[in-house]
Amino acid sequence: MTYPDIQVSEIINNYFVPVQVDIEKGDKLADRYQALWTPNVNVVNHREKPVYQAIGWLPPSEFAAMLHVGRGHFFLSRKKFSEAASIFDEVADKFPRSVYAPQALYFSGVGRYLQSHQADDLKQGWTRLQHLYPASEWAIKSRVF
Amino acid sequence: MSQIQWLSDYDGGLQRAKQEKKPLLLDFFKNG
Repeated sequence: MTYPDIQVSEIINNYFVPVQVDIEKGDKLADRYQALWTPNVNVVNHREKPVYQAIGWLPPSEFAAMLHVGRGHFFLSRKKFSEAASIFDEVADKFPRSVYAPQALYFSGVGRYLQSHQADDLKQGWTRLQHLYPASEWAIKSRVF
Repeated sequence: MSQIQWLSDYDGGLQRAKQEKKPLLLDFFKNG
């Protein structure tokens, strides 16, 4: 069970305002967020824009990593790039075996570049991604250079 | 065990998220 997990519940209580909606009773809301299947978790910013969506069950450790990635995307959407990058770095450091670690390193690089506009910040982050997770989807995407 | 303080009111949750400067976590579930 994911939600009773203490790490997951502490992350949610500390960093989010959590709302639960029955997908069948809240069908207009589900349509707006294109929620067709459950479990379906959305991170929404203050402009009501969905900045992250996770569909399907995750075990507690992966769910925790996913929540932090969602936080990182929230801060990217608010143009708080340094804060976003720090959160993404934390995911990679604390959840190195998570399926979310490669995505976190990708967007850490993105956040640092958007803050500094220095290509070296992007390349440095992506080099670490390519070294640690070479077969990952995100390493492949980073090979644009 | 730390219980999650789920809200059922989307608009109220959105307002609170704006006030607290936190992201809204919107979880769709299916009963049964």
